[in-house]
Amino acid sequence: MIFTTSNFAPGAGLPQNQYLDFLVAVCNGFVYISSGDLMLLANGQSGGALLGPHTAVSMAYINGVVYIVDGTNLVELVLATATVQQVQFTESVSALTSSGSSSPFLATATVTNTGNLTSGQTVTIAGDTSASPSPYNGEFPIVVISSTQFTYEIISATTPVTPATGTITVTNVKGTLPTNCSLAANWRGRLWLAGDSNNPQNFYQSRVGDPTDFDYSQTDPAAAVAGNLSVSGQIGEPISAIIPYTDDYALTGCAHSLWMFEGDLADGGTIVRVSDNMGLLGKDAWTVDPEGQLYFVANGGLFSVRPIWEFYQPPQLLSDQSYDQFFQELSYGFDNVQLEWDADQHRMLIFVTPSDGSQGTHLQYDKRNGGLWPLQYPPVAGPFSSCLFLGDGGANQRVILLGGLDGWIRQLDLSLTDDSSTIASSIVLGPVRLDQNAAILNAVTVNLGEVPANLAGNVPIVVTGEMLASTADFLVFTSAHIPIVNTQAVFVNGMWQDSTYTLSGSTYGFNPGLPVGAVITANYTYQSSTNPDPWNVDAQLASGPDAYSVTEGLPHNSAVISFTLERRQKTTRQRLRGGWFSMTLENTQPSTFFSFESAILEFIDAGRNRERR
Amino acid sequence: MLGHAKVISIGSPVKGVVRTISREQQAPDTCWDANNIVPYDRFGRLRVGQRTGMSKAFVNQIGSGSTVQGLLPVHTILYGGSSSAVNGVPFYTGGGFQQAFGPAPAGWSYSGTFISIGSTAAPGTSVAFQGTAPSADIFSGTFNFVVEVPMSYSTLPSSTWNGEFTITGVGATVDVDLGNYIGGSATITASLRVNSIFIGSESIHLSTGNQNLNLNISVVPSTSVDSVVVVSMTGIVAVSSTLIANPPSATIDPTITLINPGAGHKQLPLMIG
Repeated sequence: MIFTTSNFAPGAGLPQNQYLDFLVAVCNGFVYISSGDLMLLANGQSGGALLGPHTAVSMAYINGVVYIVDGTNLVELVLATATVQQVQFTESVSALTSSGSSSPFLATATVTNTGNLTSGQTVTIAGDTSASPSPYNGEFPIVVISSTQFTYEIISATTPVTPATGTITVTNVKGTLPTNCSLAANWRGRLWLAGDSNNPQNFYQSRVGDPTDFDYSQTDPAAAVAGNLSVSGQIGEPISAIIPYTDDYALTGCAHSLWMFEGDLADGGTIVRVSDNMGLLGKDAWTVDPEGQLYFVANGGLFSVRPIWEFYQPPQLLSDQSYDQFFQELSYGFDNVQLEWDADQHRMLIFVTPSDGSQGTHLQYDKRNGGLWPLQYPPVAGPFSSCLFLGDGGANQRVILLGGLDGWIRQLDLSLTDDSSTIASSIVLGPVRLDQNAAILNAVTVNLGEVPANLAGNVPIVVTGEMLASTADFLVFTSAHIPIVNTQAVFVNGMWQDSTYTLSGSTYGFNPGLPVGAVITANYTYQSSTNPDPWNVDAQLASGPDAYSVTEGLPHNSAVISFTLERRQKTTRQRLRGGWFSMTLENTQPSTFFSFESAILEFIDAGRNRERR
Repeated sequence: MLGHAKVISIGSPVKGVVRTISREQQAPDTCWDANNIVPYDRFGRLRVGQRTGMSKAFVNQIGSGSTVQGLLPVHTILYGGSSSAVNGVPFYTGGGFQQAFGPAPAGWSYSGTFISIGSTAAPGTSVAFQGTAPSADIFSGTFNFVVEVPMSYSTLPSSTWNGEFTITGVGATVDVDLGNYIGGSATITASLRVNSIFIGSESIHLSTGNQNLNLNISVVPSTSVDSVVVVSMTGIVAVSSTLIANPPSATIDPTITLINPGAGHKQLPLMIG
């Protein structure tokens, strides 16, 4: 488990302060919060889920409240009370009385439950104006005085009479709350909503600091703004993403265009079209690196842009010279594209998860070398959603989290060699050829990486075991090279573990009798005498008449060399004839890994390259 | 004509997959295809290697196994305030045991999320979770715990009982589900042998309001051997509950919560310009 919080220096006379790092997750329509090691249900409503169970949600955090949209609902999670509720709700007033002898008079309203109301909140009192006596309609700040009553002040020249009841409702939203939105963001303290299925080109921004105020009739600089009512005008395409880039700049991505918002639209801000040739492939198909470079995936590939006028850099296409085909095959609506920047690894992860639940092929963009690297995760790991979680307790709390298709949230873990299932890795080196003639590959020397010294020998290293699915499961070490035998001691957290353990096939582990859901971090004593290295790689040599045959096609000749040890420069005598050659490094063994430094291929001439396909 | 050996050296293709040029012109330091390969190996050196793995980040599966629809990190600050600041501290984040359990008894000590119970602790001493469920059906929580007898006692006979640890749920309708031990409103006692370890996850649900929930952890040292038992408990979350002591209360400071004001679900860096 990685998530803890740490204290920082307390203020004078105050108890210790703490950073709070929460992870808010939505699954099956319910909202969850992590705290410490755990993730707990935060739904405060008595009924079922308030969000749809399957659609991707978009969330924005403003002043202690997380706003969540799913294309139909707008739900808020109030952190101070850990409750989840629809942002807009209506309470029926069963009794309304007034008191006092002069203005302002005090009105007392009785409702079934004031649990959704908070003191200081401004609500709309709306009653049947044709009733006699008429209700006290209007917007009023309220004070909750009990579980069923709240009060508000009425300015009136005359003593109000008790109005008719049963037709009065209380609504907590000013103006008209946008509906059917699928995009949410916090920009300049406004709750920015878009993706309205009925008006997909429109956008809505709440009043600054008041996410429940969508009263567009106000004209002050902090007032709510709607695209169709703004002097800045609308965007001409359905909005697919909101990018709150800085306090001064934000962008919206559409299907085929990119727009930049500069400044507050209620205070002279402008909307500028950055491009009408590219749009974003989904609401999360963007990220920003630590230098402020914005990256996004559009129809044409992977782009970067620096959208600040002072340092403006037009969108740069990063993928056209390397792996353009990958992006050309992406499908908006079918592929769920998410970008996350991993500052520790200087990389960007481009997740592409098919909506049919099949295994996606993702990409890693290596900023230092500019390369693109395909990655594949187990299908259930998705991710359907993702985020970078920056904990405060150290580097090991900065992790990329993946929301799976199976209700599990996973973390990319630099210490592990498996995904709970085996990682199948491969890379094709080449194609190479000696010259225009055929050649015979005579010998191969491969220089692999090494297991660092601190992993070799009889030293304890930390291994994180997976959670146990049932009490019958074995606790499986993630490094299967541990030569555990049935008579050997196993140390767990430095403690002698005397529970029964067994050896099953290639899986080393034991059943510690732990309850379902238990998680363990174990130290084990590394034994180097039997099988010292968690290392495995096969080198498949191939030869053929042309470059195609030794890469994507079928080679005419091939041979496989296996390496189970690191570092070894193994000279293997081979006799493969051909015009072109390649070497594929591949590892499909559990709990092993490899790295590669170089290879030397020795050839002798073999005359004309007479082979055909 | 057959001749003498010639050598081709292949370096690590650290510039990634390139498929936009002819097959015969594959650029140096690039490759035609790769899967689950990264340019910097797991130890940070610039040489291609297999990517690292992944693991489950939390103890519990959510949403009955459905798709995780969204993730949002929220960073804020909890600071101690007066007891009247907020009526209800929703989150205990594992930052300090004392916040949830009050002062340590004699012979006990706290260190972050760990309790160490020394040999001088009086048998039967305990700490209690300082929580109150203010209304019906509102308190629920789960915590992880680890009880270990350290390795330093491995020289003792394995048959020696080294200590006893007890978790007691007090309340008319407190359900305590302690891993394999389901006790209803029962007291859960696990006897610890030398070199033993007990790890579990407990969920608590108080279905009747206005009752005090006393979650006691007590350790009964053996009278025959010196006893040191380490209890680690993290992740107490008392939803809508009120801490009634230590600290008096706390609040989320609305003036400093906007560490990441414009982020949406993303983490944005501090901006230049």
